[in-house]
Amino acid sequence: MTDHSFDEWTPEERAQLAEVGRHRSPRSELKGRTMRTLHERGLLGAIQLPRPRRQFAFGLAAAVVIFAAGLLAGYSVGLRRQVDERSPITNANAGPAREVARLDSPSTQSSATSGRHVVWF
Amino acid sequence: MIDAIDASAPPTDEALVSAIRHERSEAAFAALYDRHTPRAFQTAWRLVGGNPHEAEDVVQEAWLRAVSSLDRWTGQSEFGAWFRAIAAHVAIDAVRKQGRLVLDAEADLAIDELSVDWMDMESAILSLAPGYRAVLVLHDIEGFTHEEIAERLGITAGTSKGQLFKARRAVRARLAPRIERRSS
Repeated sequence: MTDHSFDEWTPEERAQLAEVGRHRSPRSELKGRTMRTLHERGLLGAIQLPRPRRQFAFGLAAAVVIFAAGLLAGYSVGLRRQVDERSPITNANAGPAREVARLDSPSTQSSATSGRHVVWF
Repeated sequence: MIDAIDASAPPTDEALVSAIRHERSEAAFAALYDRHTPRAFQTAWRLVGGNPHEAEDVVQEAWLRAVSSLDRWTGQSEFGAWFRAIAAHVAIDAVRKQGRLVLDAEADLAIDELSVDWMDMESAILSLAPGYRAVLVLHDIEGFTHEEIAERLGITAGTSKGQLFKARRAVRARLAPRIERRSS
């Protein structure tokens, strides 16, 4: 063990050496303190999903944006239809006028089954 | 699950380490802590010169280092010995940071400077200069080899042997009055 064998411990001294600090123990708080520090450093405790709050917030914001976009689009389409139906200018500009007339001629009046439909373009 | 392990069949260190590594199990750590902290604390306490608060700080830091590097423990050596080596390393670092780790004969207290007639073994070791104390504690109590001590203290193995020789003589000198008193 050592080059200085003449300086080896006696059996009694060895027994005393083994007892040095043997009766010492840490305070019980050390355990909790150590575990808390391990927690804080992410080395102990349940494995959590990465940043769940941020993920939830991002999802919620995306849902709100999509809902708002859909609402605006629907409102815009509905508004346009309403304007189209009420505006004669728009109707006049909507292409060739179409009119359907049903003419009842004396010659055809007798015939209950026959009728003539004239379509003007 | 570690929480459900039967108390009559305590889990092995390997099982506890695995649970900490893969599940970050608090129960596994608590069991490992209870099993290995007492001896590691004693090692730290001896190396820092008997200051219990400093020894507690050393043990806490040792656990932080150990848990963050559990993958380095291969299971070939005993976990307790691996952990005590970390605690010893942290304790030596702590003493060194305070500028107390001086491996110099001049730094040791002369026996005639001591205010007591005699000392027991514990007081004699704690009264040694930190450098001597470190070599003596690591070699004669903790069972480190001179090569391991040299690596930890940043000295040669020959220096470690020389320091151990001087440390033993210094301790004997402190114990001598007591031995003489007993024989008389």
